[in-house]
Amino acid sequence: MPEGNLRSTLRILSENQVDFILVGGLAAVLQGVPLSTYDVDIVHSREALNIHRLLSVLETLDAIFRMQPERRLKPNASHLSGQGHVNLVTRLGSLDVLGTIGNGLSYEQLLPYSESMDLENGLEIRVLGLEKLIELKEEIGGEKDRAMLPLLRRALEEKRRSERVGGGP
Amino acid sequence: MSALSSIPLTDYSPDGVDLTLIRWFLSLTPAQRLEFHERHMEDILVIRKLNARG
Repeated sequence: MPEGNLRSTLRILSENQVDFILVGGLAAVLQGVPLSTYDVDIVHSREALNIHRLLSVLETLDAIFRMQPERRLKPNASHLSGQGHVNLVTRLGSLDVLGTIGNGLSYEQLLPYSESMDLENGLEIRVLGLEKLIELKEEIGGEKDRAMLPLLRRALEEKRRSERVGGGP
Repeated sequence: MSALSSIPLTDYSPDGVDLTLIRWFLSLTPAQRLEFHERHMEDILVIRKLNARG
């Protein structure tokens, strides 16, 4: 079976040794939350070498800013060096490249709250933990984030329960 | 009410979340979750396209 676009996006980042943590809806899906999302959200290391690698991947993916796509504006190193969010569309779908999330949390600050996940066929990525995802949604407090909280919280409870009884994959 | 009807078919949290769906999804590996999710989203896109034609 051919890889889907979400997995292909993660694979190309991983194969090019980009240091990133998967956050947002897709991170929640991988943590076991049954929700729907179409984009990939990552927080990347803003070290110079990593930005160079990430830019190279974005070039390969034909990434342009999602805002005013008709202008076909490409991200540059300066965009990726800041704390802000760079919302892109690529040939594999939407990709949000986030300098920081929440109250200015960087890649390095989020690392302790992430875990390595095996996505098979040699693909292994870091994914933000469910506890931290919930904490961030609570902090943001937007309507969309609040709406998602019951599902995230119950998934965390069920995950803990299944771990206590020795279940889960 | 029959004995069968007293058996709960679903298991919801007090705030209305379907826990059976969560339990099933948690029973998958992360790779299986991603694969299911991708297939699911692709199916939705196909349905949207089909219905946009009309």
